[in-house]
Amino acid sequence: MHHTSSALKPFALFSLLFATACSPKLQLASSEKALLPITQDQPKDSAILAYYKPYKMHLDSQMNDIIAVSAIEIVKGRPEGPLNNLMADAMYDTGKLKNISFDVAYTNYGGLRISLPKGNIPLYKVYELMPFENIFTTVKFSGSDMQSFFDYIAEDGGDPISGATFKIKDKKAIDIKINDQPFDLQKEYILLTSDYMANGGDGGIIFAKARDRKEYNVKLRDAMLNYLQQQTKAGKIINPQNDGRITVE
Amino acid sequence: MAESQLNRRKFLRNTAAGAALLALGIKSDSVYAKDDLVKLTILHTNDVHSRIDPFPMDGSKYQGLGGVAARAALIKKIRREEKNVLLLDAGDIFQGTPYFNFYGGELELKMMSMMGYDASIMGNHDFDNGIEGFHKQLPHANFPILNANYDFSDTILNGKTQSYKIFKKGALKIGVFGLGIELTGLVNKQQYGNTIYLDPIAKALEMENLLKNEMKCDLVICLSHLGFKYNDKKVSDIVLAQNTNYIDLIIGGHTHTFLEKPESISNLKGKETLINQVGFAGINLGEINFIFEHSGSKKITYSSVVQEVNTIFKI
Repeated sequence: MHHTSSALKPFALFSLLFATACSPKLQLASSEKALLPITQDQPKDSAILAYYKPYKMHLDSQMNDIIAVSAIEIVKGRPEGPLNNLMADAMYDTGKLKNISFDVAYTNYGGLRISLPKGNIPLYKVYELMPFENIFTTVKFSGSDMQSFFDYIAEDGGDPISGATFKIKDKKAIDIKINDQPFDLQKEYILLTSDYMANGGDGGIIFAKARDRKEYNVKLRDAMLNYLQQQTKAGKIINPQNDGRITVE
Repeated sequence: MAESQLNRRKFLRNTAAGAALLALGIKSDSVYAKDDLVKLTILHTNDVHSRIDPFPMDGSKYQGLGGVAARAALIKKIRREEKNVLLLDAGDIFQGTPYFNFYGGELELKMMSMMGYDASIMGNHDFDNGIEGFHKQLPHANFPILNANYDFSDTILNGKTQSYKIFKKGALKIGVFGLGIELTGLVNKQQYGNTIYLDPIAKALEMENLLKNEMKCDLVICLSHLGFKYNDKKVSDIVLAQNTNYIDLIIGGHTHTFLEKPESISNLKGKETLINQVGFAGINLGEINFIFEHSGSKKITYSSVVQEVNTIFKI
């Protein structure tokens, strides 16, 4: 690969522009970039389509059932969002139905993976919202650790909760109420959450202080699923709203 | 095909080489037939998260986008047109659709193998079914998993991943290594088991020295699942680029960042390190073309030949 052929003369001239000489060593000269969106009108690879068809058919046969109907697109948000409230309320309701003893239901914001669509909600959307196999777990906090837990939520700007309300001021939680009762620093509280959070996931170092951990054979996804199915059975179109459970002062 | 030729012409017109060649009356399409210029095409994805099907046409934000069949067709088309192609992924292959809940990641790895991926790394969600869950699916991957800063020696993955791999494309040597994110506080201990997380910067300095100075690679690429940028001091791709010497390109993930064009960072040597990340779910395929020329004998001190010449978006 040397500049010997006469056809390469123009390149020798070009090389002078860079003040370089002949060498077998390759030097990076330039780069270009492109972003290539994968869109539906692009051609599809038939071998790939054929290969995964049996997998797809198996999933489609059970994942397309309509679980609920929503009046709105259900999105997450901070300090609260319709999806936050729906998820936390579903945990709260299911926890009470299962006779689990707890005061407040909580899960992490990052665990809500997609929005739910307006109109029909097929089963696969619930899987995509909550793909993890996380299970119900309760932990007990002292009053002061419970305050630190709310501060942990406030620090991030708000997470899904049910059974409590508070305000965020200077990244701290104030005016906390637990099931409409004023927060009591002298009391112990039980939190219903996921095993992931109880294990200290998503930066939840406060969970190292948690005691009396109990796990239940209830997946968070199934809690959401059961909640939605009950609403549908009762003939309701779901319409989760922000209700001021977390506000920013 | 027509689009690609158009872009190639555009690209050449906008490079110093292209301008010089056009001035000399050389047809641009013949450039790559010559020995002097070698083109390397890097294709990349990150955080595909089990997105086998395109997003459904239900009015949602990404409806109709993504899907392995369309991505595979696009990759095939580029491979037909380009001689030197590397196809890389920056982790979080797993989790996000029922395909993962039902098949545990088998289909994701089979699809990537069929598409001809050259390498991937482990993201935090690739631990979601535990190290055992990942280990179980590994036989479905015909490409290496690169992770330099996870010490798996006390786990079932011991010897099943590698720190780096050197790819030879024509006369080019491309060194690729992988970096994963800190697992504590992000992934539960029961999932990552006895995996030991090693400082990514220290590991990167070791890797780049090995690949650049000892193995004499022409290009050094880091596949990273550290995340693009954080508000605090947490190590990110930006921090990595600022604190290393020889990385030409960081292909990032984790933060699902949609970069319209690669971020250019001045590294410790004052040279350019590019960082790119293309969102998530296989919505985009990143493409970066590097042009190499035969030059740089040991007598030549000129070294700043890395030039970001142009950015072409086919949006």
